[in-house]
Amino acid sequence: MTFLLTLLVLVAGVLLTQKGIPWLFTKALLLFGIRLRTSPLAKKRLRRFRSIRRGYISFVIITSCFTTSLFLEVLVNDRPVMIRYGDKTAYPAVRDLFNTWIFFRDGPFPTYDRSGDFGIPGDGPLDYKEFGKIVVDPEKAFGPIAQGRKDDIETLEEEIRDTQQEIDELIEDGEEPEDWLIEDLQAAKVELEKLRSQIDELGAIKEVFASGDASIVWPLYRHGPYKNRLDLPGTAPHGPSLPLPGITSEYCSGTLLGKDDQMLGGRSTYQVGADEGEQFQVGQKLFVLEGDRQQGVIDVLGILLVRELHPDGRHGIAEVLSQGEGKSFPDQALLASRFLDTWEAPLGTSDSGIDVVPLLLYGFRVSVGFALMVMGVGYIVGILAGAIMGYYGGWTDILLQRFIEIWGSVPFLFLIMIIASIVDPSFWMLVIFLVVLRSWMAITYQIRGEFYREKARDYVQAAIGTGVSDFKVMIRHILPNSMIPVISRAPFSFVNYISALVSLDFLGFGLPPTDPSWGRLLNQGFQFILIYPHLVLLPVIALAVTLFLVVLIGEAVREAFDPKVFSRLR
Amino acid sequence: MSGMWTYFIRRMLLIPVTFIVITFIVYGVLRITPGGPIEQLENQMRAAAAGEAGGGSGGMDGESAGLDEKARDELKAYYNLDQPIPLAYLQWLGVYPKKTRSPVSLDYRREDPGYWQQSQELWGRYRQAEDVLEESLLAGGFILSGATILVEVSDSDRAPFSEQAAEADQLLAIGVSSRAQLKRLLGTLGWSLSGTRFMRPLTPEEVTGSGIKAELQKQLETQEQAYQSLQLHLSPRSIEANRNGSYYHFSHAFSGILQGDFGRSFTYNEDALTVIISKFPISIYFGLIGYLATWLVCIPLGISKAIRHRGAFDTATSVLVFLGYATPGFVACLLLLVLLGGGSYWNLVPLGGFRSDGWNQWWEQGQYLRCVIDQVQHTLVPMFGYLVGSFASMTVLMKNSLLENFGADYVRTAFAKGLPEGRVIYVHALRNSLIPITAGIGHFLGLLFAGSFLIEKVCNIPGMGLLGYESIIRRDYPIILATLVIGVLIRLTGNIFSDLIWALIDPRIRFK
Repeated sequence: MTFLLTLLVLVAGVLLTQKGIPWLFTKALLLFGIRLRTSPLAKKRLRRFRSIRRGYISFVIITSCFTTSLFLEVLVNDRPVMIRYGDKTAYPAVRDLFNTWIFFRDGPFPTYDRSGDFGIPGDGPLDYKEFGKIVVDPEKAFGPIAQGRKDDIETLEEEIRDTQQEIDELIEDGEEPEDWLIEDLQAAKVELEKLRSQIDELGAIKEVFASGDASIVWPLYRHGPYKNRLDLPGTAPHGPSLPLPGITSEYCSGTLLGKDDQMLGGRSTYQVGADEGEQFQVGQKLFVLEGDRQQGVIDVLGILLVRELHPDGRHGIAEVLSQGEGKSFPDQALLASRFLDTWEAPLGTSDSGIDVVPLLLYGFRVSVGFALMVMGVGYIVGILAGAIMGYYGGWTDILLQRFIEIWGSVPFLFLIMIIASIVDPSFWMLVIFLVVLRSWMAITYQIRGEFYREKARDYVQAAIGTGVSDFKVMIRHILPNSMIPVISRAPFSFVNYISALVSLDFLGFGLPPTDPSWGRLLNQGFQFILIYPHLVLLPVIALAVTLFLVVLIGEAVREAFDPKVFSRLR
Repeated sequence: MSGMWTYFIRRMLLIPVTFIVITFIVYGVLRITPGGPIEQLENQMRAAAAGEAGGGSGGMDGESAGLDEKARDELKAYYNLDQPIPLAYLQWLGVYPKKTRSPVSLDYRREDPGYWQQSQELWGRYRQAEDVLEESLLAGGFILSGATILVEVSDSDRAPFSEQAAEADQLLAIGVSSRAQLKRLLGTLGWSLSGTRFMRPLTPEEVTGSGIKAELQKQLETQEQAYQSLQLHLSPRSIEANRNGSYYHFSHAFSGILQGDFGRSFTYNEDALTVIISKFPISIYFGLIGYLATWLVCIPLGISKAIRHRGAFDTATSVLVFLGYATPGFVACLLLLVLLGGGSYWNLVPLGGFRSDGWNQWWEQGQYLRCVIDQVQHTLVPMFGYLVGSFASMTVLMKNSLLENFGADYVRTAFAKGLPEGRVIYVHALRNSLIPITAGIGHFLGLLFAGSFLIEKVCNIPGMGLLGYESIIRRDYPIILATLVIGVLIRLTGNIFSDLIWALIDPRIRFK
């Protein structure tokens, strides 16, 4: 079901990106009275681009993924898309989405719901997971509470009866009952009333849940990039639970047979035995688990590393790699190379316990968005500077050229590191740093050359001669004819900016520490390089695949827009 | 030809300008941004103090644990931070004299006991004045900040600014988190903060009038006069005393990078230049190896790709080239370390470092083979990282340049003459297409300085890159600036040098 829905979302993303957005764009332009005319030359180039299959398919994949990722908050989030209780409805994930769109997470919409409004008594923020559990099975959720309340009432009634009896006896004996006894009785009666009304209230709430008047709609994946997975046993990071070839360790289980006298590398060792039909391997990591085979895992006590094996492959000696604080390994404890259910944390968690799936997906959005911003702003500035240099020439040109030459020699990564080691840069600050220090210069020289050449052409001279203003000549006449270098370079600079962001994040000079990013995940993998390879391998795969696709686009664009005809030998 | 030489001379002349602009920018950024060496020191002291206080109960105020004003001034003078930025920059550059100080030795003092007797007397007088002043400050609850006496803000002082004062009280109650805001607010009133008290300087009326405050002002003046007369007594011998009673010879001298003085590293406590030069061997080693690996892989690959342009081999290796372009070098290193570093997969290479710890010992014991194997193992991963970094662009450059030559008339002529294909390709075309690649040799000086800090951090190689990275983290100004200076100079001259080489080996190239 989830799989089908995911597929549906992806198809919708592709359709929206390839058909919807272009259509909306042309309509919006029409509203402003601009009719987009594609010149025959541009049409030819576009056709050529489409004919290069691998480039065009990469283009479709990357753009669709990015547009889909703009809706990530309602697709992958730890808050539900919608909750309904009686006549009250709330859309937590949708609010997140709008907050992100408008203000990058710190938007105007509230980030929580009052739990009292949704059937769970109290004024604190609503625990959506709890709410979801109640929706799924109200009987199971309310049963224990109601039973507890009933027990309370019974004991209270008994107490009241006893006290009443005591008072009655005293009165019978002709004595005056003490004040505190009467007060006690009164208090107990009030308490009883309260409990009874609570039971009624609970009954009413349960009624709402049971009658289907409450519902919850979860996103496709129920964990977000800002919240740690406290629901998992053991300590973070967790390895992936999905059996990924080469990344996830083969599942095998066994039992702890007892402590061994040997010491290996200054660490104590244990004897381990594999279950029937299973085999250990030297160098394998085994989790020592609390719990049993029927009920499942309660806690992780520590990690063992298999060091020596008996020839039968089932018995061996393992050293203690880590042991939970204040925890001992009981004999006959369960051992397993993995302890999560297949879909519990498919790609594992980061070192602070955040699920890797949302980290990778949100990281994709951040990286691509960052690169687009740096590129876009950088091109605007660069084209402007190049245009001025090429169009006006003379001293303006010479001075700007010298300036760029000098500015280009400033070691920018160095400077960003110095600045970032003092102030924690935000997303926008990093964009500005990168634009100001580097990205605008990349394009100026080509634009300058194009403008030099185009300005000498007759059509430009004619336009100037008829009194068109300089600015208009630059924008309307020359610019459309000098976009080739811009377009054909774009994908490659895009790759560079993503790499720059990953490097900065890796070193810890990048985005704020709460933002999901591939570079920081890589850094965590670097810290745990021997134990948790998934923290390096997964972001590397994500990075390499993304950049590879972008390079394919770049190759196709270059070939379509700026073909070099090389002679073949012979 | 002459036009070209003027071009190169013009570019050479631009080097100093570029150099000055760059270094000034970085120098300014370093000075403007907070967190300099003094703050670093104070943070360390504060952390130590918080540790002593039993795990930091949060009661540390910040002011109480830092350096006192005298010590801070001393350090500022020591690090040349007391000068305005442009002046300090010129001094650092070595075109403006810098005041240097060295302690006066006891032997020197023994040479002229009478003179020093007198100095000590003057010093004693100063101390006395200071004691008197301090006593009355303590008695009246005043505070001395620099050369101004501060008095606690009274209710009558608050009256005109009751609103701001109330806000300040609120901010004070919030605690340390609002200190910056509180200080800003107090600054607008001309007040300052001492502990939890608001202080204000004396008003002119109080200073000129009579009473305890005027008395204090007079005591302060006496103390200053005593200090001045001591300095006056010392200055003919180019000696000065600081407020703690130590004597220094001082001299004004040109001592900056132009004179080869890069300053002392804060962390290594050694001359910055010496520290950097000590990293040269590692840089040269990896620089050369990375260079060679790139050439050995990329040139043959580029050639065969060009010959089989659009063939199956070309397409297949293109995937490699694209992947190489898409993977940053340090990420490739990380990947290799995960796969080969002995974690979950194979155990073929060590996790990092330049050599194993016992390397020198093995060498002395004559276990040369072991040494070589160890060195190779440590070299593989970083070498691969450097290779990946320049693999794609180098291969494509080679391929395109060869392809361009294949289309040239002289190649067609050579074929038409009936020369064998191998000769045309490898003798005629290849020679010309190697030109843009050989021009890169101009950057050979860069080998001294090779070392990406990302790769060196991942592979834990104690080279130039790691030095630069750590100096930034520790705010070791002399090292930061020295790496900058050398790096920029090498790059600037390298650029010109490769263009020059290009122009020399390719007579068709004309720079104007």
